Amino acid sequence: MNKKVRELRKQNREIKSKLNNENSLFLEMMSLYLNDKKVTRYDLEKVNYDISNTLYEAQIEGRDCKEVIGDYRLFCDTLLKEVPKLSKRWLYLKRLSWITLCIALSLCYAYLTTFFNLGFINVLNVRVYHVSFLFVLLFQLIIGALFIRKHLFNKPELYFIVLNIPLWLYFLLHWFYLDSYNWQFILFEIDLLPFIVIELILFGMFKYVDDRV
Amino acid sequence: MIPSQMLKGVLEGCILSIISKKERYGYEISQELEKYGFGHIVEGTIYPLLLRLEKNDLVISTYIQSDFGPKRKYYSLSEKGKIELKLFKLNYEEMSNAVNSLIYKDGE
Repeated sequence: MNKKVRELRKQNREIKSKLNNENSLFLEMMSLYLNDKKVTRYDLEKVNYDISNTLYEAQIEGRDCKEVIGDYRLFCDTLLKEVPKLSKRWLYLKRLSWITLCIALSLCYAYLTTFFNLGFINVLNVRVYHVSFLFVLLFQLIIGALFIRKHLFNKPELYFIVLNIPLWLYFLLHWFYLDSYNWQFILFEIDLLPFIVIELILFGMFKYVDDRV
Repeated sequence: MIPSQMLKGVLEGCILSIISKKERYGYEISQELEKYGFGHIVEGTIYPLLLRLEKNDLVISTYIQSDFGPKRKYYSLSEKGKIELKLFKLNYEEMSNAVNSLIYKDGE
């Protein structure tokens, strides 16, 4: 969260504490509604700031919320047309970035415990990870399922099939020529460290950009 | 009371006209509108319009501390807003002439 948003949020809390029950309830409902429609954080706080100040002044003058805002639904719906919203793509990226961090941290744990030979807390023992066919397939299925469910691409099936073709080919070649039909066979070996670093960098970059939205 | 559908098209221009005379905040604008016979238009109707005007750089807003606590958001016209207001006046004149000549002069 960036500084401007934090500052606004603090001020909003301050004003809200001075509002009566009806007004603060209205503000809460408005925030929830706008938040639900994925209004960007900064704009949400800005609108919150304007409206809570307006309501506060009205409260001092003895006018009530309905007199100031009118119909709450209508107000929110017209407001929504005027404020920028987070794109769907951005929201999925955000979700993915957290998944990235989780993977990076768990890999980090596995890597460090192996590196320092901490046998008693080391469960995975994976400095060099052997990427098996099953692993890649499962990974593909999970990612594919995520994308299909969320309609990230216009043609998710296509994406899924295209990405899987090389994998299946590789698998079949192995089967026919190397005669090693085994779900667990190792596709390639990778060192985990660069992976961890890349994942962390990706997450950091996303956070940096996200703060500016 | 003027039906909201009819008001929709002209309210923006009217708000521009109100703030062209003097810097105003939301409640003042609502009161001004009432004074001119628009009926009671709540701030909840005006605020989204002002947001749009602000987004399109037609108005500029500044926060000014009021005497008894809360901050007021004062709106004033930008250069682009002045041009828009002139345009609105021209368009409105054209429309009102057309409507007037249709319903009053013609055929009666």
